[in-house]
Amino acid sequence: MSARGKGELDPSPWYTRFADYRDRGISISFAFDDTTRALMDATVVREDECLFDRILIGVGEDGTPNSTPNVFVCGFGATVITAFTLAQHSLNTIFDVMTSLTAGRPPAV
Amino acid sequence: MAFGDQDASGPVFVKANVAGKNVTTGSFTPPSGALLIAFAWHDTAGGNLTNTSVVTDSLGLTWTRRATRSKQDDGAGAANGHIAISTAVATGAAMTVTTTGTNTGNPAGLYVRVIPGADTTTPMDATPVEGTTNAAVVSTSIVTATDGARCFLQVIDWNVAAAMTAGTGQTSVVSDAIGASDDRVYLGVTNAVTSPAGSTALSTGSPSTGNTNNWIGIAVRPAAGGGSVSGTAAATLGALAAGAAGTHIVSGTAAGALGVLAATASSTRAVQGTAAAALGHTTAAAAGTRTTAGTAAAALGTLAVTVIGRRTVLGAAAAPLGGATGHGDAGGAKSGSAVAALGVLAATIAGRRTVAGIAAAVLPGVTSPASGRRIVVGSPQSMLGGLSARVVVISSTALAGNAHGPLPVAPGAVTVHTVSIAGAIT
Repeated sequence: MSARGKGELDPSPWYTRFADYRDRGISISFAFDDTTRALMDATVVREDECLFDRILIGVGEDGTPNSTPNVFVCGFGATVITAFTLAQHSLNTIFDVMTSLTAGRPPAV
Repeated sequence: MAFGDQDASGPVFVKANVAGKNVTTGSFTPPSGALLIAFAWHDTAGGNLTNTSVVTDSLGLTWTRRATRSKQDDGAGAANGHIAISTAVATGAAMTVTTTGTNTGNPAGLYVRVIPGADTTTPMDATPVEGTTNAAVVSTSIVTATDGARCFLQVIDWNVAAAMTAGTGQTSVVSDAIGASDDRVYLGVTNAVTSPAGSTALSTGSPSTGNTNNWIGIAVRPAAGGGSVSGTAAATLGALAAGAAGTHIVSGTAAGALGVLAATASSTRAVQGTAAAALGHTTAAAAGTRTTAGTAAAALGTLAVTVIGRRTVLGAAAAPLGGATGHGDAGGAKSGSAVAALGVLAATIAGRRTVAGIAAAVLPGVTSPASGRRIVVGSPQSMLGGLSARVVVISSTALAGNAHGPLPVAPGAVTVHTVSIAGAIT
């Protein structure tokens, strides 16, 4: 990967991975238009036995990711989140998903 | 599980790019007495000399700043970008952690390491090392004082070169970007504890061009009294017996049995690995985390306890996957695959009890005369176990039973569309 200028966005896709305590991870790759920054489909890959089963974008009323309305639950393997689904959550550009981004576990039983 | 590994309760890395210059983890519930280490990254404007940050949490715990590297803290000789390491001690309650920057850029990142069995009075085994490296990999060392310390390297690259990779003998925990690629952030950990105590290398593997790094290295001290047996054994891998507090671990691969851990004092006990024979068990009569996890050609061991603490049996076994029995509060869990029966969970005091998995024979039940949530979920080839508690058993699509009282509807096909619970379940 070549160096980018300070503050300059890397070209599409924008990838990040979150690992659990045994380094079993869930990753998300956002494809976007390099000119307009408009989001296209995002692909989530949940590795076998990874404890995290959801991507959390933004924060909710309590200021934490727990209460965010933007929760995308995914099974093991690859899951595509379409641009239409992202837009339904008002996630329209790559900058919209940078507000707070992490992964989460299923709710406690 | 080696000392310094992330506890299963630990939160995941989180990052944000907001005007509040803050980022908050999701909720997590660390074991009481565990050391919490917050690794914070904040972007800065170029040449900014006034950037600071502070770590807080939802419980109001006391956080102690252990090290900071930034132009504000270290002068113009430091690179741009701000990193800080703080510690606190967990109470056992659910919590979130936040880092908030002042005069920083908006992008921030936060990772909290949950480490049971650490020395919470003197968690830093050596004075942290810190520095700045430009256009080269980070290469430093820290000299530990206590046998069994675990070392970490935190880095920020303000110049946004390539994503950082771990140096030799280390593993990347976080390697990411914050903001619109405003900074690269990295956290690495040594692959094993330093034993005996001495100099430990901390480094990145790449990049070596285009980067401007601020970095901090720390060594985390284990609590006194800990011990471990690890490795590969042609026969049996030995047992550990301990009567004092501290982290005690048996891990590895054995052609024979993997040993047993016996302990009577509170703290972390773990048996983990692969065994051609039985995978040993942990026995304990005091509070603390107890774990048996792995793969065994024979039985996967049993966990037995008599007082409060988390109990977990997790793995795959050719014979029965052992049970967890407890007479204390706090609950237990069992999950995995077993060619024979999947073990039983029994408890006499309130707490959550769960059996989940796939069993070729019976998927057994949860028995309990005390209050608490009890659940059996799975796919047995024979029967799904009974329950004697306030529970509902769902087998495939059939509502199979509720031993505590009459079902609200007759057993039969079940279709669940939406479930809303407004109040307590009794």
